[in-house]
Amino acid sequence: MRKHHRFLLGMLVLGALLSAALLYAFRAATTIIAHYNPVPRPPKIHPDYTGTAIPPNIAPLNFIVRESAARYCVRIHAKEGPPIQIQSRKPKIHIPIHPWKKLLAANRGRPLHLDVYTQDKTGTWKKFETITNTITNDEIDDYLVYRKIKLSVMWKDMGVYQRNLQNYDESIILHNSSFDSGCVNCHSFLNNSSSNMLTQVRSPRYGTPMLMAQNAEVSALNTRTKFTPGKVGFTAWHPNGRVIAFSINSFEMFFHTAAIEVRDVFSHASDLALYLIDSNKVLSTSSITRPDRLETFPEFSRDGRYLYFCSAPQLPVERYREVRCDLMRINYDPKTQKWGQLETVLSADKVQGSITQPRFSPDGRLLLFNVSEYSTFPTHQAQSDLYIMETETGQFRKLPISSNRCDAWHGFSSNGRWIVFSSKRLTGRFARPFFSHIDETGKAYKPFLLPQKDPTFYDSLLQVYNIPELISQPVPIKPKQLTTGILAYEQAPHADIVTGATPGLPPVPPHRPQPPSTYDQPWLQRE
Amino acid sequence: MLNSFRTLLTQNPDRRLRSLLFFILFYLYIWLEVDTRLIYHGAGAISDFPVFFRGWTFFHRFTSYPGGILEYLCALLSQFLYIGWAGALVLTLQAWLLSLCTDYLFKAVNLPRLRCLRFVPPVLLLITYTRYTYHFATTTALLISLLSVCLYLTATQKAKLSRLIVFLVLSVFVYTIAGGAYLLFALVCAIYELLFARRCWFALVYLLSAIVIPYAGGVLVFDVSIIDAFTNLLPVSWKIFEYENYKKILIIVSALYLFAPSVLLVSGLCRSFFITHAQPLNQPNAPKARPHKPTKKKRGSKFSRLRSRILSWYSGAPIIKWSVESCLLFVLVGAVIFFSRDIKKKALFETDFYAARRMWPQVLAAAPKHPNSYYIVHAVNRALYHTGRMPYDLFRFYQSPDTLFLTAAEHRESYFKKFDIFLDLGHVNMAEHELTESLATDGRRPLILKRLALANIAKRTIHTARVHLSALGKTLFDADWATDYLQQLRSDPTFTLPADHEIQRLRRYMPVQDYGFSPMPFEHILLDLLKKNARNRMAFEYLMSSYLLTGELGKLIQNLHRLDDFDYTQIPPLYEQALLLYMHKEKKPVDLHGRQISQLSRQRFENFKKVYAFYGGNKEAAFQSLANAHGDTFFFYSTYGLSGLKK
Repeated sequence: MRKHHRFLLGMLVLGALLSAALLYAFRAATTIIAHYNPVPRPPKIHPDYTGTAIPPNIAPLNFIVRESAARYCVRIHAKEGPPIQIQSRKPKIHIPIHPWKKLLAANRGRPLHLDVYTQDKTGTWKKFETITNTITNDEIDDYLVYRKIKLSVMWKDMGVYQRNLQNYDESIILHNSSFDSGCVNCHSFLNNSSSNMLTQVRSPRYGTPMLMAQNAEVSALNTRTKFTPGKVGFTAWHPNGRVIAFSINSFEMFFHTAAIEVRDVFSHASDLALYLIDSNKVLSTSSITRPDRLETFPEFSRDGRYLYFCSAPQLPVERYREVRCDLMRINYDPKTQKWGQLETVLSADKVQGSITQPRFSPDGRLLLFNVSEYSTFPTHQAQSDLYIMETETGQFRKLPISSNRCDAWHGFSSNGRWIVFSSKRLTGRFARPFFSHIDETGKAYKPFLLPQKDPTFYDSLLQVYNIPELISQPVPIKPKQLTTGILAYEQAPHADIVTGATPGLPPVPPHRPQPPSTYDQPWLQRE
Repeated sequence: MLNSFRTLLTQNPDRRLRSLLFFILFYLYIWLEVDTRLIYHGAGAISDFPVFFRGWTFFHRFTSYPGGILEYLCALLSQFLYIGWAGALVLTLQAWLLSLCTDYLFKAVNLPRLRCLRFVPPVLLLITYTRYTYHFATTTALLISLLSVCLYLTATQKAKLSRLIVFLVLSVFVYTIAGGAYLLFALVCAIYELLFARRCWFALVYLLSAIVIPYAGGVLVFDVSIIDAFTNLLPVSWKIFEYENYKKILIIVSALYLFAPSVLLVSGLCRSFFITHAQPLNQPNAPKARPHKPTKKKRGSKFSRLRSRILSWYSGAPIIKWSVESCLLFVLVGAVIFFSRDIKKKALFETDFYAARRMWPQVLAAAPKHPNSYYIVHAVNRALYHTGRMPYDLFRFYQSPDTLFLTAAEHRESYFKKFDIFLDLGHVNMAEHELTESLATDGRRPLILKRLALANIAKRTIHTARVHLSALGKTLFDADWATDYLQQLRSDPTFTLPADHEIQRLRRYMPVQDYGFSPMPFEHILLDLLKKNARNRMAFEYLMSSYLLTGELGKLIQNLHRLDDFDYTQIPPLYEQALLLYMHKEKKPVDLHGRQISQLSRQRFENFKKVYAFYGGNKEAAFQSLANAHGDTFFFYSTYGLSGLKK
């Protein structure tokens, strides 16, 4: 054997021995801590995964123990299956994914316990009160789609992402860097299925297409007609999958002198219309395009007979605090394209606030909505709460899971047992996705934060999550397909207008031209 | 290759010495004259300066596209620009390696006469720095490509390895690390094989690989767009092109990229076409070139004899030769730098840098280099206020109503320049708005994160402040600052922080009455601030200055009573001048709240009128005389709309 070969072999053996020694030193301790001092309180852990209900198919809820110690030990156990024990010198607890999945799968409907031990420098162990969560029988959809953006009016680094909830994989659905930093806004899915997806784009260069992805094919829809000249804001699928309700909003941003939320949004005009996929036609009626009202946030009832939406009086910007939305509905028959009478489902006066973002549970029994002090756009409100209504009785109540910050952009899972929403409860300004279990009676359980591999992930994240939507399978469309759709928008045929359905349809009131943002140009104003 | 580089370093001590001297001067110039701290600061003009955060999460996103790893390393190295000497060291090291690679390349292809061109890449680099642009990642990608070319040449010359295998391995490495800069590697290797080694098939394969490898690696493996697959980290990448400021300097960066391949191509073609018996390199069996037969020396004229005598003396005196060549080099480089540097841009960066650090005398010292820039005047006005000179020296500098708050339409998105004025004034919400926009456009810079944290602590939105502090805690140089604040917030459950003067000042001044606004004139903002705290001196002086600049003397007089809220011993001269002019025009007295207009102001006004009258009231004719004597007064500004003209 040559000299250098011998040297190589020696190095390999040494490396193997060293690896074995390291593995031994850092092996997962499986010994049970028999002697400890009990601490009569639960440990402080972050994120707060305590006393909550979790789905049996969620990724490990990694957390950080906020107790100072030299060593940490966490034992996760339930009635069935082997417990998981993690020892660490650092307070970050990374739960191994496979044992976690097994433990959850074996204990559906049962409590899940977390014992947290800490060891001080003298070697004494302390055991805190056991944290107990409940593993529900109800699974959550496997994927969550959300938009991640910076707190900015500039469209920089904005994208729609999908996250596998069984692990930590996140992938891009569409990022605005692929089309010259335009805006990607408000995606929606039909029945929590990824095979029918909508998202809107606003690009100074490529226009304002509504991107529709159906059965792995993308089309860029041009919904601009003389009745619907504005940019599409919020969309909703009709349960038959052939009709899309959309709002055309003309927003203006304004600012607050001393509020927690610096920015606010005022709607200068807002109307609703329907897009008929098969005939490439846009349909509307005077009831949902009233010049004296702002109609927004469309949502079809699950039987497809009613279009629900929010409606507020059209007021000058100075009276922005008086803008409060009522919850309305109008009968619509997709076969005959006939509209019925307009009805007020719930008035703003009744809830003492502005009702926005109505979302039906898959069985149509529950209607989840948002109530804020004012506004047609609750995202920038310092506080907005989640309310739930039983559609049969019309009874509504504020969900106790609402926080003293903004909770918005909510939606149901495909089985109706989970809701997801964007909440600013953790940081005041940065919205994060939370899940809450809803049982048969409509009771909502303590929400928990979307878990991340690094439990401190959100602590320094300067982006916000909005429009979280649960879907059962991953979006089959590649980002490139969506980008190609945007680039091809110029060739997209304009939608036709249906006038026969609602004779005498008045045109949408001309949108008041937005004043240029001259808040920083007093001299121009003066002149 | 290490040996080859070692040889390069050890051979020719005169060459080494010249290089050493060149790079010492390069280093000193970058450190002391360019000042890398200015590039790090960015002044709102370098929007693509990378941030760097410790931790896996930050690293992870760089692994998803070709060239990402290099971008990550460059982000790390770029942070050293924060410290002048360390930043200069990083940039000099990069320039030196580029020079070394160029030298090695020309040596390897047997172009010894061109080795003096090794200084061209460092000079081109220096031009980009003297013009205050940031192309570190792009130029480092170039360096990786050239280093790989050198590695390829060394490996294929000495080792008995298959050229194709070496090329393929290096291709995968270069593409993964340096992204689109791989095209340069493939191109240079192809030129070498075609024109110097005379292996056409290899050249063809390499050129084909320039298409195949980015497509296979970028589009199929990394799943990036075809444009990104081919252009990431190249000067033509959209990521660089989107910055309007960079379009001019991209010619220099492109020249840097094209320098080596162009020289090789031209010299290779010359060799192919003009030297009939040129032999391919690295072919051991190739017959040796026929030795030159000594030819009879022709007897030349007196002049040519003299010239050859001088030349032979010159060749025989290595010290003189070295000195002359070195002087020539340094003069040439000096001339290039002299004519390419951008003094105005430097002044812009300096004033912004010093203003951000509240180094007011330095702001005022740097400003005259580019006195008409709105950005600079904006910084100067802050400096004037903070040095107590605003109501005295406002018109010593060029002024316009737009300079106080950068209100011109073209400055609407200059968020980076605006947030400090609102923090100074105590309008925390406006500052927060500008800061968050700046965070989106200029990146998560520590300077912005610090201010956002302070604004949120002042507002008692502590959870939000903690997010900014946690992000700041992952930076290299400001982590301690963030940790200190996080600790303070933990130990003070009421978040009062009584010992923190900045927080207390902000809380004293920030408006408490909330209302929505858009648009809102700055006059209202300033009055609002004075309503909250009548002793907000900055709001007062800015309000009065804005009235002076817009000529709203009636409003100035209405607010004159506010002087009583402060410790002015007398009416500041610029306000006196405004009062005198107002009284002169309106022919009515003004309530001075028990104060007097000074004799000096009255004399200046009389003198101004006298000079004006001397020219028969002809504005144009009186301009120069008035500018010389009264160019720093409100009288002059009011008459001509100009200021800062007094010699």
